Amino acid sequence: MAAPESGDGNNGAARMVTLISSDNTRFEVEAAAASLSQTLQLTILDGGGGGGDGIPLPNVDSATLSKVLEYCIKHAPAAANGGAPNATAVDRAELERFDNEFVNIDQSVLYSLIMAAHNLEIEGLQSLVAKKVADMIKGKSPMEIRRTLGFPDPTPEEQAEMNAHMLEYGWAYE
Amino acid sequence: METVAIDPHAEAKEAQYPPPEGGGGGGEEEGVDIISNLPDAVLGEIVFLLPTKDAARTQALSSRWRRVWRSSPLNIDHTGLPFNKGDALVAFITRTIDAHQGSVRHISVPERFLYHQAAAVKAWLRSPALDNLQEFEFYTGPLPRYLYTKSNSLPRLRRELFRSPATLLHGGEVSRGRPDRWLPALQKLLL
Repeated sequence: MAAPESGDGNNGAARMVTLISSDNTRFEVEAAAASLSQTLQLTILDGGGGGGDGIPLPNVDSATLSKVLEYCIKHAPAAANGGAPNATAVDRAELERFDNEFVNIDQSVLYSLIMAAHNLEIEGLQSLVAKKVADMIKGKSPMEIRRTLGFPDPTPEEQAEMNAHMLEYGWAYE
Repeated sequence: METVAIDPHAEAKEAQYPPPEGGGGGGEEEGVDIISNLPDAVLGEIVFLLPTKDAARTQALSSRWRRVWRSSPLNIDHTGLPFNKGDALVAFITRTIDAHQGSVRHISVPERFLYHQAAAVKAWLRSPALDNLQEFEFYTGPLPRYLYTKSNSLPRLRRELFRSPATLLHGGEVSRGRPDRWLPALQKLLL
């Protein structure tokens, strides 16, 4: 009932909010999409982010924020249905296809996304991205993991520690 | 200030991304271990998503990752662990729970543990490390899981431990009638 913001438009137009990235780019999105972020949800419920105000996000740059919002916009309709009990198999398959493609990205973008999802508390995105990194690690030896994640070559001490670990945790290498 | 309106119907947003720095891509570059910039809690969540063995192997990466593993939420899944004998698996799980500084969030053991390793299962359930347990699976093999619905069909241990399937599925109530807090955070128990 309470709609203190002017310009909301009660005739079917979705309420929009503005988010401002660390490099000062303004993103206008539907409030429902931005509300996938637990961090933003309360502010938005309080009527924040509308009009000329905008919600500043000092920890998220524009490249990352645009990616984050792409996720939120795609997932907002399903989230609005409370986990989409009436979602069709087609809808779910489409979301899954989107998710798979969404994380098919450069590692640096991936890590920026993890941080943003963590800071903004977007649960679905957090687990999606964490799972992508886990998949990059799964089934690999420590050396292979190091290479995949871009670690420098191990120093002799690190190599010795690695060997010691492999002895101590033999069961993890069988 | 520039305003970017996001059009939910526009596909192909890729063009907005700056080119990957340093011409990298493919992650083959030496010494750009950016994953280590992530906070421990986030790395811990990644470690939690790994099968038990893979998670343990991340410790070999560095002392930082050893610390992360030791305090990350733990996922103990007997499938894939190299123990054939029940006793060896029990000893392993007991040791792991005792040594782990983080909480145990998921445990999967063979269903027969309910009968043949009752004492060990009870001891695990009493450990404070299981206070935040979310899933306890008694694995019956690749068959559909099912729930016992009549308490008199439950083996003795289960009656003793959980009183009834209803309380057992409502983790918060598992403690009913017991002085100690049993699994206050259990969300799912798969039988």
